[in-house]
Amino acid sequence: MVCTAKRVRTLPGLGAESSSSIHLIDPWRVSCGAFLSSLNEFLSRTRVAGSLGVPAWALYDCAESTGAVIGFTHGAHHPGEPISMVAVTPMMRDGAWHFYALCAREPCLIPTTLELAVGVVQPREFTTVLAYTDGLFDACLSLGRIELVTAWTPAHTDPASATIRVFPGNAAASGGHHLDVNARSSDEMVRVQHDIENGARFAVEAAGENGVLNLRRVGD
Amino acid sequence: MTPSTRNDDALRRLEPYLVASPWHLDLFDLEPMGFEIERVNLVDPTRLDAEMMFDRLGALDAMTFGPEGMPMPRWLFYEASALPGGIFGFATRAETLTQDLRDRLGLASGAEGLVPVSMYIAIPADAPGVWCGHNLASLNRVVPELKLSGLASITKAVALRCFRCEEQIGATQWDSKALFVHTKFGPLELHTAWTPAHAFPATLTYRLRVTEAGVRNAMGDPDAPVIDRPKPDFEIAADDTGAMQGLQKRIEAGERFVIAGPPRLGTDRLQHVPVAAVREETTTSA
Repeated sequence: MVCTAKRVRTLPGLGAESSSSIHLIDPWRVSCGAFLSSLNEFLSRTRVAGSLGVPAWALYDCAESTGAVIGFTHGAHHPGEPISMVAVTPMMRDGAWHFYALCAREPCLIPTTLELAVGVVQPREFTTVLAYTDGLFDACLSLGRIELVTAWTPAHTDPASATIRVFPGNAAASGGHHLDVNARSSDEMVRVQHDIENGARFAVEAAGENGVLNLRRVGD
Repeated sequence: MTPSTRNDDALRRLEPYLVASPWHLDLFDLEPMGFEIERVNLVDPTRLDAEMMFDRLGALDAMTFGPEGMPMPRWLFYEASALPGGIFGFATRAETLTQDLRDRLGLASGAEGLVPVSMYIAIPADAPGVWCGHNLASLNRVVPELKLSGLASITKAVALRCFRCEEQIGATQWDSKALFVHTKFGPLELHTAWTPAHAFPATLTYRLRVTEAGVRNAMGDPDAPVIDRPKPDFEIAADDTGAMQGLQKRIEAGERFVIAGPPRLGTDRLQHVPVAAVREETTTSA
């Protein structure tokens, strides 16, 4: 985990026995240099450079100095080579976080990396942005209830993205009515977005491999 | 009532705006220092109609930072700026611009609405009231005919009040002209003097205590109280990487230092940054 000494003291999950094997790397110390170089190289290999790439200065300013970068490494020598990561940064209300740049060398590491981050940060809720082609909905669905904040996001590099709010440990929503939408159809997702902007609230229940997003309309 | 600034004329022509998550709006000061942010200038990044503002913020960033090699990808304006924190700045209206200015700013001939000419972006950091500022831009040098002199400092000052920021951390390079802006707010405590974690290791990380005197000084208020500044112990030249690394060793060993004031431009045409060691009797207040 990459975070400042001051941040370490605020993370509730670091007191747990299960976290005792977490290597802590302080971005404000020169000794972090070699590992952070390899982290930035890993990031440039696994994220599409130029569009969704994360410049090193941005990871420093917007995660390492404010929140943390959490992930797994591999290798015999401490701290090893990064093989997965997620950047986490606090929101304005206590207990709320934003997770971004989730990536891994192997897809199977994605859910575990997310669980590790949730275990360390212990957020009451966290937001994240998922492109509909990401295939990452399942990893978030396994953590708890999901609310759809945006269904179409032109402020983002990829407008075909959803902003979701995850409530770890919370049961799925009930009530309301169920509907399936084709996440591959920009027209459909823009329609859902219009509904959200007019006050509708949706829970995400499942994401199928065929691009179908199972929603539950839980309120207006 | 707004305080006097070094460019009241520009502020009379411009409007403040804020881009932030709607569920955070109650946490901001929406009339910082008397600069009321009109409801129509509160941009919700989660809405479809935010697209135009994000296009224009990207253009502002590209015109300012593109030449320096540090432009910001669009998704960071959303995920590492507006969603967790805020983007505050001043804007003009497209309708008021000449065709020549519209062309230079990349606007279509029939373009309307807010055109940001400055922005300050910050996100919550390591404690309540502490923010990390990661982008400060102004079109002053790009479009000098808009007469935006001093707008970067003014924008940061008002933004810090809008965000209700008590301490601000940030990173900048030893040779950056931005140091002239940041030091207007007061002494900057150094967390790093040499930063391999950053794209440019000759980067310093600082923490600033936000005070009334600092904010008003930065805005150019002639009635602002004087800021207490410690006497510098030495200077770091902008190309002296050895000195930066030496200072970093001392910081890691537990010593504390502040950047005492603005850089001095030497006869070598380099910035020389004044640094003071923090001793109990030099703890500043303003």
